[in-house]
Amino acid sequence: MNDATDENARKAGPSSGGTIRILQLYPDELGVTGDAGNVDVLRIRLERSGHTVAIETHRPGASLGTEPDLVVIGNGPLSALRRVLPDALRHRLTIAEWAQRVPFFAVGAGLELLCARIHDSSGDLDGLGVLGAEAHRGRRRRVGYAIAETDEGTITGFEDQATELTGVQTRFATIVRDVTGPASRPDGVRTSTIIGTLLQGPLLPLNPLLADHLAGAAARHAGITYVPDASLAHYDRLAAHATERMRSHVASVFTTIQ
Amino acid sequence: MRRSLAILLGRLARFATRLRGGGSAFPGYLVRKIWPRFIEDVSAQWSHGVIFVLGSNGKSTTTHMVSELLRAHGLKVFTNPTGANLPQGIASAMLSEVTVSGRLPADVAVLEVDEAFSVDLAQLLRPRTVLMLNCQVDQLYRFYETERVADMMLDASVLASENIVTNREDPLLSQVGSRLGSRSTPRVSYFGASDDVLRASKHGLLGAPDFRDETAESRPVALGEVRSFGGRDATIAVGDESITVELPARGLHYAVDAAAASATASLVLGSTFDSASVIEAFATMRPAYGRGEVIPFGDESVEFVMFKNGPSLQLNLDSLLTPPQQVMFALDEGTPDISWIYDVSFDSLDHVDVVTGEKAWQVALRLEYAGVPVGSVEPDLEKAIELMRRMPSPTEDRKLWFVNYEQMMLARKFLGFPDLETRL
Repeated sequence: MNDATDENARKAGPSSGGTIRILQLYPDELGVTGDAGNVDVLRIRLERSGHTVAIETHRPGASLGTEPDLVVIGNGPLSALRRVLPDALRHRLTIAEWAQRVPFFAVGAGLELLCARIHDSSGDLDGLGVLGAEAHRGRRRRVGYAIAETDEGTITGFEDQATELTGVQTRFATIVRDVTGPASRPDGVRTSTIIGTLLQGPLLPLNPLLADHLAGAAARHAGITYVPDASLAHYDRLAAHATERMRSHVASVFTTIQ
Repeated sequence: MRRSLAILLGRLARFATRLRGGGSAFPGYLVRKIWPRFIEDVSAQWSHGVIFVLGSNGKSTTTHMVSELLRAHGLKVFTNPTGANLPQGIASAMLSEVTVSGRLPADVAVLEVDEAFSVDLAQLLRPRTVLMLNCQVDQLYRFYETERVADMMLDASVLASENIVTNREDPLLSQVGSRLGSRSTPRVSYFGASDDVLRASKHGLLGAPDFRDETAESRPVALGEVRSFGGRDATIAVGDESITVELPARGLHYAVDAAAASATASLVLGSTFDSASVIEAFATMRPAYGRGEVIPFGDESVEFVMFKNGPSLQLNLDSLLTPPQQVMFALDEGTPDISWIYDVSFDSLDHVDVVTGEKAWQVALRLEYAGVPVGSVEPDLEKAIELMRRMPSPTEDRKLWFVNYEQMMLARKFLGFPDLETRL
């Protein structure tokens, strides 16, 4: 993931027929919750299914390159969000234009970055405004496993966040169960191209149906049809066991964390 | 009179809670109810004062190292068992050694302190020296943001009356000087590893990055510096002296802990610091409980490698020179959030025989995506241990068990080496 290979990948970009290009924004700053795992899982699923994948990264100060087939933005602390924000704002128009066509997967602070405004007791920040929603940090903290319903089906993840979103047109998911028991509260944002969530885990290895949805969207943008290879069932069996355990532990753990 | 009563009642409470099984903070609470300045008054007796050991990772190991180094120089050391690093726990630990007249015969106290309570405890115990090991991305579910943890440690360190010893290679903790402004006390000393040693490491020391401060300060000279390192051998420069020591466990993080402990000991001991005593102390040092500890297992033995977060797991994996022949990996709900497991590189393993603990399936999923084949998944630790027992002894090394804290305690119990650590 050094800059030289990034540069090569970028040059190879649009003219390299058949390559699906996944761009991760700010992996050093927004990547503390295993976000590289989400990217890895997309790469492995696409590669196993016969496609060539290029993982590219964008770091502050670098040029943004050409339009990728999928943008992934991970999670990080507020200090990291502050650190990347000036660079992100410089590329605001390009990112907003991409979001018209390119699928995005944004987690935690990565989702907050796409919002119009980020409210925090230490001061408010302008986000990229790709989404109309606003993020309010420092609300009630939620920690623990969570089960959510989405358009793709039921997903399971780990919540560790204190952000409330307002002005959301379409939510990504409805949390139906968390450490407090049955629930019905919104998570994240969904548009025709963007999936933004406050759920981590990381989410994609645990929820292959969501990973395949995103892999399919990336492939489609590259003009390719993605059909998950049968060998991926090996991972999916492990994921099914893992999430089954998480669901059975959802109410019984982490309730005492201060 | 009132003090003796406090101690007697505290002792009685301690006896009762131990009969009930396990340690408790209650005796510490009780004694402080009757003798509110118990901690302050007892700690004031120690001629060499109090040393705090703070950090995301390595507190127990380094507390143990500092204690052993000071003992090797003839000092009588009071220290707290791991886990007793909150105020009432420390009071309970003191209670176990204090005489009825309120004396605790020791020259110095070396205490590991939980980050979240470090400021409160510094106000109570007035440490002369605060040693800060590292600030890693750790327990985000508890601390929310890494900078908050760094601030807790930094705020406590500036309360030291004489010395701050901090990690030069840690982006956040190395900035402590800026907190002191023009103050000349406490004095700041550093420990670290030489450029060559850092370059040779697979992933470095993995301190959390500092996103707040723009300017990278020049590297100050370290009082204790790892100059060379391989397996369990390390050469550490302490001031002008070069000391080659045998580490209690494998890994660069242990070498850096040893540099931190040696630097701290040299500050506490001054001119009586003697490198021969340091070498002797390291040669006879046992690993801290569960950290690189070797425990008998039938006719063979197992090595416990404990990890608590991504950086500590990575540093332990990086310490392996060749892929181990037999590996068990145990992780349970004692570690709530394991999303970081996808940030860890498992290149040092070519397989894992058994994955266990409540999170076994999540771990197996990660390992398989990392290209590390998993032999079997058995969430029940006791059954997993039986699977490991049935495997023939490895021909070249020991059975290696990667464990989080809770699984380490449980595995020790199943192996017949019960919980010594919470003994207060």
